[in-house]
Amino acid sequence: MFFANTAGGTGMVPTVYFKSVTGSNTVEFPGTVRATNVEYNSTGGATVQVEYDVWPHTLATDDATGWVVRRPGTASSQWVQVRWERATSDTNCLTLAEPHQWAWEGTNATSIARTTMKVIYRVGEGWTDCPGVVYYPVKTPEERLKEILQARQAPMVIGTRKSLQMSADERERRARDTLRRVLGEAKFRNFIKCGFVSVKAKSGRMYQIFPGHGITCVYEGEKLVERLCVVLTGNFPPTDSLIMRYIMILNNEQQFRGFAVKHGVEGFQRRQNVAERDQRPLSEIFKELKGGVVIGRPVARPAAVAKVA
Amino acid sequence: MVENVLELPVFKGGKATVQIKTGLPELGEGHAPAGCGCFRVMTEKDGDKRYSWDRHDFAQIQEAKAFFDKCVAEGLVPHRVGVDGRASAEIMVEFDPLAEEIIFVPVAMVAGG
Repeated sequence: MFFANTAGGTGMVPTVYFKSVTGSNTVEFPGTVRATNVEYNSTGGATVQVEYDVWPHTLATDDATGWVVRRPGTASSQWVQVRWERATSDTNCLTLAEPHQWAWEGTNATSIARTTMKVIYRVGEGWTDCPGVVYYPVKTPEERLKEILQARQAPMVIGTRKSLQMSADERERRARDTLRRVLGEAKFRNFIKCGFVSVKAKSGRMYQIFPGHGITCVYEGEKLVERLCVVLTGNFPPTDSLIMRYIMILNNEQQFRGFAVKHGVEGFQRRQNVAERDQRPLSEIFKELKGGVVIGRPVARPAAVAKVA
Repeated sequence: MVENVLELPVFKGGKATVQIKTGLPELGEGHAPAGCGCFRVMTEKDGDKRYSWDRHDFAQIQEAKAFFDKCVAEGLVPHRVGVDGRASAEIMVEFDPLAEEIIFVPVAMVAGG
């Protein structure tokens, strides 16, 4: 049995964390590895204990403490690979001297999602493809309640729009480079953070421009007055469309409006940007989390109250 | 002098292309060297194609002007990127060899969505 968990970390490469636990949080695949206990941290240090039963080779249990887990995957790669190799000359680990690599895809940073996993395990000359399913750990009622308490202390607003991620498309990267030149550094950073660019035209209207085929929103004061759709036909990268709109609005607003297909604002509601919260009393939530079991001794009603009721 | 070729679509939605040949050096990832101007042409294939010209080299200025005129003739609209990377509110009608960067926008490919 192989135990794994992934969690989002800083930067583009998710932090990888393997942990040996019992019960949930497991990845199972047909009999290739009996038990693995790997603890990996972002500084690169790791301890590894491996119990192998790899057909046709049967290897004994090895205490491989002192091995180092490395991540050869690049920042933009969809794949995360973990490779561990010996860092010490421990003679007990001689049978594991060749590099062993794991790779998986479809990791999901959400805490309770179940993600189909593809594991590639390398032994000697060959690779073994071991499909499996990741089971993320179920949180205890105490942990869940702690999260609820923390969420209640946080501001109600979730935040701004989703920030833009790095693009693997070379054309898109070049287009963003051009946009950085056009907008200047401060505005470009704002674009990466918020996912749109605002520009004030000579008419005084404010245009909110999104990349790709996103509809341009027009504001007068703080009021949304129009939604305009102008695109670059063909397979242009999304940011090129944004540059075109930005430049056109700055230079020739009337021409931009002439191209646009106008969409009404009636019935258009911006997505609510406020988190929905469970407003029930915490005791009720905790009772539900515990499966309907009443925690603690029920408080007896005062006789006077019971009489009135 | 190495000859670079820029391919542009003839009309919206069509597969036919027109080729503009130029002796201007094509820039890869980096920015134009100091003392050089830069054309950025939006293309479907490359995101943008970048060509630079040396502002102190008369032959390159002539080459850049010829390239500018050809692009305009093919329907691209040139915009000058001003100082500090600010897009100016002015469409260029004539080539200015002192311009820092010029972006060509394929207005012919713009449509309502």
